Amino acid sequence: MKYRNLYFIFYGADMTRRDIFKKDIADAGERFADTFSLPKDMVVNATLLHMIGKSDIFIENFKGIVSYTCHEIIIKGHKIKYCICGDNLAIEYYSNEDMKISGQINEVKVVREAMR
Amino acid sequence: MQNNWVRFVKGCISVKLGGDYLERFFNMCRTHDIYLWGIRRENDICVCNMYASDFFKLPPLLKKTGTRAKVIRKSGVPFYIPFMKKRIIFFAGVILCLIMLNLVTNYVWAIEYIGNLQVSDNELTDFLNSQNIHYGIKKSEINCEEKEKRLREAFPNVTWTSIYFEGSKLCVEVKENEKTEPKKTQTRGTDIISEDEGVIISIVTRNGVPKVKAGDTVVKGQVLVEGSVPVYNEEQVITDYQIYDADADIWIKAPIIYKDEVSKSYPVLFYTGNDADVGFFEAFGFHVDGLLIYDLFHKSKTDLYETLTQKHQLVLLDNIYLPIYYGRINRKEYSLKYLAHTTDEMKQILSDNFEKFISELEEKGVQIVEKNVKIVKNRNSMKMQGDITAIKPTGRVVDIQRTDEAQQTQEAAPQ
Repeated sequence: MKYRNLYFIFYGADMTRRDIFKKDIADAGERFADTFSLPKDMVVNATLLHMIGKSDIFIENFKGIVSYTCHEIIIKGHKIKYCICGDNLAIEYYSNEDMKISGQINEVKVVREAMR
Repeated sequence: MQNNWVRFVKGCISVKLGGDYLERFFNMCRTHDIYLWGIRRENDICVCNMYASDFFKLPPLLKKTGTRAKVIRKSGVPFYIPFMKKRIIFFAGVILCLIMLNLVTNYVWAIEYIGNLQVSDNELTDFLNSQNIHYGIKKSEINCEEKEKRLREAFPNVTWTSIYFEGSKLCVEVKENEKTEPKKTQTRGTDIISEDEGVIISIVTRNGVPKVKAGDTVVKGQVLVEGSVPVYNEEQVITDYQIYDADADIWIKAPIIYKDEVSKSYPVLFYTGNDADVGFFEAFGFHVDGLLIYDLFHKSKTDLYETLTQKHQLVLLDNIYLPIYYGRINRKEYSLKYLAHTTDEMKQILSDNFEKFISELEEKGVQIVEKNVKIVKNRNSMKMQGDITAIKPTGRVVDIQRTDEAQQTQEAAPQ
């Protein structure tokens, strides 16, 4: 009961104990990577975005393309989506390992998927 | 990302894609290891590039995603094969040429020398030849660093060297020591002896001991200035000799014997006008010219010719001299006739020659004091002979000739 009160202080009163446990499990990978100084993209399967200036962006460790238009490309990562907004966006190359997007990039947004 | 050359060799196509599920199509291509590049969205359609071989993997994916595909451009080697099949010899020639080019670039075909001022190109060429470096040698056989070291050893005034290749050209770059130390001439001890027999007019000595003075009569070979300078002690006895190279300006009044002869008859060339101007070619000791053909059609009157040959050697890349020569031969036929001088003409020739001789002497700084020449006429010639008294510089440097007296003094001095 005492510990539960502490959780409420850290995570808010609206989170149930089950939510807190789920979040702990989800963040375990990140904590593990931090503790052993390992690359997070390898440990927690995170997407790696490498942006050069405002015109080129390299993406690795992604799942696929959700949507592609001249002004917006949505990339699906692991439980997360990345929305790259801009003008004249083109995919320079698209392979199993990585992809490169070029064009006038205005915004890179992260869209979190709802936790089940 | 892959190299454009790889794409060209493997062959690539541009495909126009249309449909509602293009993103899904791209993702399926990815999972089936189909590499796509240059994806551009144009309204409802997409244009992308892919390898030609991957195009055959597309039908099931197109069917599944309801995408339409149309090839709009083909490029790369596989699409040239039908074109090349018809012109196989041409392409075989091109490939053979490339192979030959690759082969010949492994050899040295030119040598360039950079930065040499004191050391001449010929000296460097001789050095390279001594190191077995010549045109046509394989590049891999040359150890540049070792040759650089040898070059510095061979030429002491070369302070820095660099031997490197520029394509098939071997560059030998050198830097020389600009401040060359003046050569220290070692004193070997010399005397000055007289070259003529006569009277000394003046003597100015810079080094050594003068043995004659103005007004003295000297004979040929007499020592005028001695290189060994005696050193006296307090009792005015010679204790030692210091050796110098004798140096002095000595003027002597001496006779010069003049003799000239002109024969009465003299040869004159008469060109017959039978001139031949033909080309020639010479390679590996084999000579071909047009003179043989010319002689067949033109009968020569005499066997006397004046021949002018312009010879050029075939040079490749400014440096490679091939043993092939070409040029022109200009042959003029002439005959000799002997004509006779008149007495006046012979006198004129003799006096002209004499005046020329005198002016040449004056140019050398010789002062003419007296001229005593006479002309004698013979049957077939005319002679001019006599003496010219002149004041001229004299003195020949010879190795020291120590007198017996000096030797005895030097031997006695240590006792």
